[in-house]
Amino acid sequence: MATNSQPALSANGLCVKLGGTEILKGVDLRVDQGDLYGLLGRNGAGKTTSLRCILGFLPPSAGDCRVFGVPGSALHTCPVPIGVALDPPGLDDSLTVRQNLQLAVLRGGIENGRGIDEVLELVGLTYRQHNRGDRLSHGQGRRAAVARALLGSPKLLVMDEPLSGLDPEGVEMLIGLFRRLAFDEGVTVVLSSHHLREVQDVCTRVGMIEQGYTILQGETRELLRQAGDGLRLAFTADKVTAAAEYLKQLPEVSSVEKRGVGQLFCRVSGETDWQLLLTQLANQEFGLTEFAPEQATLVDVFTQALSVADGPIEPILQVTQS
Amino acid sequence: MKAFIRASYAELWAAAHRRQVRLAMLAVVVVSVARVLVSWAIYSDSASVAHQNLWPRFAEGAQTGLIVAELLALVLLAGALPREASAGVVRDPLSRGASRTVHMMARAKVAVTLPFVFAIEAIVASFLVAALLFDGGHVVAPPMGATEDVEVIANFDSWLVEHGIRADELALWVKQLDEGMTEKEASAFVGIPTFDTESGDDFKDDFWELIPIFQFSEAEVREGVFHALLAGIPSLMALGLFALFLSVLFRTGALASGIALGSLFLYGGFFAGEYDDVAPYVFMSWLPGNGAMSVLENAGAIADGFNDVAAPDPSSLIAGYVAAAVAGWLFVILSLSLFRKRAL
Repeated sequence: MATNSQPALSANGLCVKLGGTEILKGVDLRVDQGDLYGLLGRNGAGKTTSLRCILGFLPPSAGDCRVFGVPGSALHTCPVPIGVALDPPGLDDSLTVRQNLQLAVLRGGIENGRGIDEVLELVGLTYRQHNRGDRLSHGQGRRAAVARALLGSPKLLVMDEPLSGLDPEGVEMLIGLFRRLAFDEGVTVVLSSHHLREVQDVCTRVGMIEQGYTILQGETRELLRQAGDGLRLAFTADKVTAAAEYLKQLPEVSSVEKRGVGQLFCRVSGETDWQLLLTQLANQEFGLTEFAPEQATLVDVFTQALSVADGPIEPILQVTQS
Repeated sequence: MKAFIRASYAELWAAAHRRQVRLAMLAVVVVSVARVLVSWAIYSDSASVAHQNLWPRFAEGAQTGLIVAELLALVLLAGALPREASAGVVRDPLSRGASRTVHMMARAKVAVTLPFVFAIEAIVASFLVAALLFDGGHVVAPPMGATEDVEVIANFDSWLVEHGIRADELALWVKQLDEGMTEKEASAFVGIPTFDTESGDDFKDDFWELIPIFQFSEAEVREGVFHALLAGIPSLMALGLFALFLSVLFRTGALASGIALGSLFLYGGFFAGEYDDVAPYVFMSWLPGNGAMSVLENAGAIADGFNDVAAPDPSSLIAGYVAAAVAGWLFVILSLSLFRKRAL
């Protein structure tokens, strides 16, 4: 029986070898019940493999993975219903979307909770319900897979790249849906995605995998706070090259980057008096026209973590709210 | 058990709704019907009464349908799992309360059912069309050295029609006379009206040589064909499980289907002929369609009047049943053990 303290999904020291190649070398993840968890990583980092392994679709060569306390290899004994939409979406191409959902209902013996019409409506796919799987676009296939995962009353949703190939409207629709499920219904949602902006907006916790290791895991808010430690300033100036050279010489400026025509972006330490810095720049007559402090984003978290990971992989960095 | 019932129902439902399966079902019907129609086109004007009998034509149609049924079942079943695994389709049942063992057992149920359903289709379709185009009756051979006088033949045909007697019934009637019955007793035995052979006014003397030679009673032939159809069931089931095993063994559908077809053709074309001592112990030998020792083919030949064909030895038939059962279980066990570790 699943208790509230039990993680919805966990992996400890997960290693996977495929065809002699070590795909996962040490993945540690913990998704608590009620989390809206984003799994990040570059292409080929091991996100999909991790999810496949945790759910028991791929036997690990080492490590332990569990879903509500149940080993992935015994997922059928999991005490709570789960919905899974991995990559590829796993639709039977010779059946229509509706038949795929009917098949899932039969397989799961689903009698209560969300029905076929409701999930089709939720993902905006009612109008394509009678089309076969091979007649759907990439994005529609994703939507159909998400619809199938939503059938019944799953307490855990595991989605691999659910936003991939979706139009902006579809992304907004699914993000809104995941939010409602997590925050209104208490469903644990795990999604791997390259849409960092959306993950930042929706996920309460994120984890990052690189080269088969977990290199980062923690609460989104705290990770963003740490990434934005210090100030991030954006300038627009006429003499941008001269301004960049000037800024590089200042000890409190840690990095300077040109962005587009006449734009500069720099990072300064947290103790810097940015108003003084602004005055200094203005006095240098670089033709400063605009100035704005910027918030850190998951892109910054992502790139910072990857710049560390380009060297030897560091042990997992766990970040919890301070 | 509940999980298995649910999983197997779902897999059967999916199989019944898949486009490829429906097309295959249609193909089996079309081929079976076409074969009977071809026989009808060939034999409707045949001088041989034996060829115009329902039972050989039905057996022929059913066997042709079964050849296609076996090939299509092999291709569909062997290619299904690799295709579903690479598309991620198999993950859904495994995330809905079915263990790998339960899922594989459910697939085994489909693997056993699908060839069986195809076979039923071939049998029913060919029987219906054969029954429509041919009459049943005893198996007879054309009379030896019969007159070719068209007028006599026409008179004989008219006589048969007039008395409501079929030529094959008359052949059985003659056989009973040969075995010592009186004409009256023979007519009663066969179930035809009595007629006058003495005066020459009713049954002309030159009609005698036009009476075909009795070979087998309709009941014997019907029973033979029916038993032959039943005899094919274990090997059909083993064939489905063989395809299932290949589907777990190979990663790509094309490879699995290709190996499955290759095995069937190589076995039938080379192995069964070369090693005929071993052949009875291989389930493929007994396949009703493609089998080198097809009992149905045998029964069809007997029904067609070929009296040089011997019915299969009952002990070798039993060896075939045992071989199919052993092979079937072996394929299930191997499939289960391979699927437990398969990356999905």
